[in-house]
Amino acid sequence: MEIRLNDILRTVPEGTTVGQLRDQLLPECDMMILNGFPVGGEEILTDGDVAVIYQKATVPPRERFEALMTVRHTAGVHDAVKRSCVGIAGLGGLGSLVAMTLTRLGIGRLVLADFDIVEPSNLNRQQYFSDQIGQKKTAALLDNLKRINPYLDSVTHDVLLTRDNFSDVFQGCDVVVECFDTAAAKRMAYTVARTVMKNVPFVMASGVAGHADTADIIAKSIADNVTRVGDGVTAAGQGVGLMSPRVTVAAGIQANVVLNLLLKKHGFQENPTGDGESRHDTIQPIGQRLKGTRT
Amino acid sequence: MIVVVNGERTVMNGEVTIRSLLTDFGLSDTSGVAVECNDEFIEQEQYDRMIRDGDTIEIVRFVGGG
Repeated sequence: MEIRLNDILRTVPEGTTVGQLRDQLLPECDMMILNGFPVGGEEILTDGDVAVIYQKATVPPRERFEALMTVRHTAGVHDAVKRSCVGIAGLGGLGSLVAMTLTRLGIGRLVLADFDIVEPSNLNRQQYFSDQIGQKKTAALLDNLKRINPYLDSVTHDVLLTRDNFSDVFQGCDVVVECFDTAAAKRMAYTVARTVMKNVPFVMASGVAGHADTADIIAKSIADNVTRVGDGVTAAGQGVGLMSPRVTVAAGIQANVVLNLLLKKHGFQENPTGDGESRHDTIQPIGQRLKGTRT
Repeated sequence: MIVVVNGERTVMNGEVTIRSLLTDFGLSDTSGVAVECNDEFIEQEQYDRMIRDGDTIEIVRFVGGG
């Protein structure tokens, strides 16, 4: 029968276990992953199985790095994301975590844009460290991403994004993720999404402040090519903080929406995350807050 | 006149501009607001334009924080 071992097709006798394969071919290796899940070695291989065997404590060489980094991915996911390019507008609480999450997903290429520097109040929610205070966010984030995957392909833009340069900066991106911090900048990104970049899916965010129930943070379709993640109403402001738990949840949802958009683009999945039925945002009267629920 | 706003059919009387419609929704601060009318994106400078019978209007509003 035929199995795949470390990306190479091999013929093995019926009844061979994963452990036997390791003993015969890779005796120095102590990690065995079968069809994306760690196993102890007693498992009998069947035709079409995918096995990855490697050393736990060793940094893989370049040509094996991404395969090993993504060995726990659902089959086919990495193939879709590695041929994709995602733009991230703003590298703050949302953008820095979306960038890290997509890096861990094995994204093909990232386009990262922010004009700002790391400062102490960022550390409550942004993916930077205290020894990076004062550094440009583009440089600091790239250092952090390269610590995850030294072979990440990326472009950084140390610029203030405006309506005039937005589409140039993100030209060629399969998806753009809006991670700005002001309502006006979000409106600007939406304007671009609905005028000159109508063919590009946008994943925006609105309403991620405070500490109300994270179940209120959802992905909702608000236009043909625009998904909005957030509760839509909770703005950061005097008396309403912007803190890690909700920001982290929102960034995770943004990344999952991106993943599903890319899978759909490459024919792997039908429905992206989020409500595709109704684009209509419910305009809440100013001052109304969604109540957290206790169950 | 009958206008569809965010999917809901609405009866409006008299002269209504986009700006006055936004104010009725509590959106007189339009810095985070975007409007499309009949699938056309409406620039802020055009918010004093009259709404007409049969217009389909989509309003989205963004809040800050990220």
